[in-house]
Amino acid sequence: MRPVSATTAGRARGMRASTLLAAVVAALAAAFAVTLPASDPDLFWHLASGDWMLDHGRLLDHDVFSFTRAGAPYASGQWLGQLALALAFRAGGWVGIDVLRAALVGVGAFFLARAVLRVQPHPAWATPPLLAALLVTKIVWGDRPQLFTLALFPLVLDLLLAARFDGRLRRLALVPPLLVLWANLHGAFPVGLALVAVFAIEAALARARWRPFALALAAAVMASQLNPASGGALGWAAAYAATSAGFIVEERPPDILSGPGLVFAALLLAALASALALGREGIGRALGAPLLWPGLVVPFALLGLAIQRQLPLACVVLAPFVAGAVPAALGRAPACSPLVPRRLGVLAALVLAGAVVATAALAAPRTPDLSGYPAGALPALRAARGNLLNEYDWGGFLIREAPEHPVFLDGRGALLYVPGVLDEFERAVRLRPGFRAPLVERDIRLALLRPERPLVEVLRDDGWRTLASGDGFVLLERP
Amino acid sequence: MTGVLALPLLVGGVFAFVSTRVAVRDSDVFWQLATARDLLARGFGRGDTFSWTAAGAPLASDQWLGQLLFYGAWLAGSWQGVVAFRALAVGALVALVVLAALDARRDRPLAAVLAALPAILLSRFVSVERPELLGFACFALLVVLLRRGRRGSGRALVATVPLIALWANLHGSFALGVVLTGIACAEGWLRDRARRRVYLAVALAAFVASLATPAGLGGWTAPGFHFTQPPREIQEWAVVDVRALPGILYAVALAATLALAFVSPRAPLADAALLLPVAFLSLTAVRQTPYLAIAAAPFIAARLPWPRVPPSPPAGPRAALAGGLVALALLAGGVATAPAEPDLAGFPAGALATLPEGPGLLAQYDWGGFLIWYAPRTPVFVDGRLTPYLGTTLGEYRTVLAAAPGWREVLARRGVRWLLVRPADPVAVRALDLGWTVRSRAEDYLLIGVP
Repeated sequence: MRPVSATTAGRARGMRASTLLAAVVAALAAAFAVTLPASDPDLFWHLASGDWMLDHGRLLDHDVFSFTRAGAPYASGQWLGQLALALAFRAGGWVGIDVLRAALVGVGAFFLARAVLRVQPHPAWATPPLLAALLVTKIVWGDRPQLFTLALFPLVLDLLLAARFDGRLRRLALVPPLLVLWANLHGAFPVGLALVAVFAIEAALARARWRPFALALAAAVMASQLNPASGGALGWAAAYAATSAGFIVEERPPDILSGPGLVFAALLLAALASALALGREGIGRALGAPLLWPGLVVPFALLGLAIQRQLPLACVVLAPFVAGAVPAALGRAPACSPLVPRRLGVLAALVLAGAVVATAALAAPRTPDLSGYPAGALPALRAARGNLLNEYDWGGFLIREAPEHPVFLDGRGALLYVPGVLDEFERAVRLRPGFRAPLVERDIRLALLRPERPLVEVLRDDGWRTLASGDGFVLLERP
Repeated sequence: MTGVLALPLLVGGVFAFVSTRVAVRDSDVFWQLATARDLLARGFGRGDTFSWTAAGAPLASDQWLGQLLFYGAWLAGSWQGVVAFRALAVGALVALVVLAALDARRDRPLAAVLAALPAILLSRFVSVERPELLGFACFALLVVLLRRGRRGSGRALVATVPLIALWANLHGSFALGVVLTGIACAEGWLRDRARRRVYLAVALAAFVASLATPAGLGGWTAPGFHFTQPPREIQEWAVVDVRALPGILYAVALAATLALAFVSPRAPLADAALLLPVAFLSLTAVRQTPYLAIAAAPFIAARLPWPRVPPSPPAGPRAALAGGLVALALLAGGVATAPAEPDLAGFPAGALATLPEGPGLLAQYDWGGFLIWYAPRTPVFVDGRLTPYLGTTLGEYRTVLAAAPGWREVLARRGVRWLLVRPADPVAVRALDLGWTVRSRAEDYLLIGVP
């Protein structure tokens, strides 16, 4: 059997040292996250969407930002996440965004660390996979509603692990309300349902108090329907996964020879090596629930391989197994987490929280990093009139900074612009046959593009005037 | 003992037959054949004569024997000869994969075939008329030898050395064989104290054998480069996409390997020594995915849950003979009815008559090999050999094809006089937009004069 880290009586007297360690990890991650400037290209349209909902007092269910899809109905499945971002901004400006990011990264790091330390209390064995998974999560630290998934996924995993291994079945009651929240914060909530389903199926197969897990699964599925799209949200999530493969970098498969891909591969191979060395019985002895781990590792590893933005979720699942299985495969004795006095734990947590707050006060950037955006074009753009052809990545920025110019397209790619508008954009900027047609049909008078676009040279040859140009952008006007 | 060969030969024969239904059509086959012809005419150490951008540059010789074998097949039987040799290699590859699986599950032949199926289906994507296919067959044989060596066969272990020597001259993938042999020998060295010298000698001999090529140590350059810096813009070197067909088959093999590792009894260290490095390699590029499916076939076969039915009686030598005869008949029948000409649907065959002679043509990368073979008087700008063009030439090619800023400067500086491109290529669209002269056109190509 796997080691029991603390008895119930012991827990009443103190706090697990592993919980304290998780708090330290969370504080460090949050302190680092709060120092990063906001720069995600999708942040701006999420903020604009949240602002629109706050100003109009209703959900945004149709396009109000583009001229190519104006009025078209759509649902982003993340209205609550957008509201949270907008409220954070209204409360504290860009620092508010920094703080929200830090808080969510901290929550995610805390529960990831708890999940890892729950399986492997020894810090020396727990730290490498934990840090590896944390490093990979950084690819989704952009200020978007997906941050909520980053926080909620480890949280639900930790709840389920606590219920399965420590007998804390009452915690399963938290799963349905979390799913209600998740289904309104971000469209990736089906991964949470998948987690619960894996635990429920494994408990049923192992005949190990399966009814609470089955009940939690049923309640979670029903709870996840409590969103504006109801059951359609699940279908929408599936459709999004199916349609958004090609054109958005983060939706493509990961490159295993890149940094995050390499870390993921290392975790995956460590999991495979440990499983080979331990076998089913060894896994059962070292970690417990031998059927649970393949149920978690195999589907989430394939999910990570399919879509690089899901790599963090795969690593969150892999890290606890690797932390527990590698030392067992090497013949190390299981460790226990010592207890620390509860008061000392609370005091330490307060100190850590204070340190994060101090870091936020001293080091949180007051302005976003706009180096990747055509900020220098804004004065000329605001003075110009006519339909604008803009880069995909700059759409959100323009929605917020130049609202007088509805965009051609923006980061709502799969929600709104696939396939028609995106095809038009690609055809025009990449000089595909008929590249002039979108310019004519959409009556494009302005083009804000990267200078390396082949279309820029064509437009210049056609006599379009340069209204503004700078590092990485050029704004052209039709004569 | 020979009876075990019956099923592999039979399955190999079936898939060899299936492969004869497909005409020669790989975009690289033509430059491979031309290279072999050039090798026979001028020997090693010659400079490039196929391109005008890398003319005289030293040519890589890392797959000279593979190229010669395919060229020999072409000399012997024209394009049907190439199909026949490819079918033979496909049959050998499939038979070896099934044999490895059957070695691991002698009493359940169906389970063995099922375990081999992901590898067999995935190998369809590398069943091309190139030395690469021979590399996969060598790998499948290495898996058989290493696993038999693990079970105590000294002959199998020693046989890896000549295999590596052969492989190193057939294709650059030999490096994987050397690494795996080294790891397997290290595992044996740790496990079997009595045979430590044998393992050490085999590992060293395998490495030395890999140097027995015209390029010597330089033969390791290409595999090292492709492993660490795969040219992602080339389809077969792209990242693995488990939502596309080859990726789905790969995902099945990977998922089965992972799942069975978790739910089966602990595996011997030798399994990990074989599977882990191959699993990592397979994750790096589409082209590498079949390696995992091949290596994992015996692992999956040994652990695949199977109904408790009485085991099949072992097959005798007559069964092997029958299997071999059926395989031969399938191969012969397939070759006799195989397409006699290559499938040139993907190439600008219609442009050949109007192609100008001498330097100055910039053609699609994928068409370079075709032009080398069919229009030898018109040297190419780039072609599928890739390495002679890495850096400046490939960058310039991409700039022109995308009509990216500076494309006309490249044309002027390089002295490009003709473009042979697809109608949807941005440079074709732009050239037509500029009113440049079209010398020849069809649905899938344009030959455009550069003013």
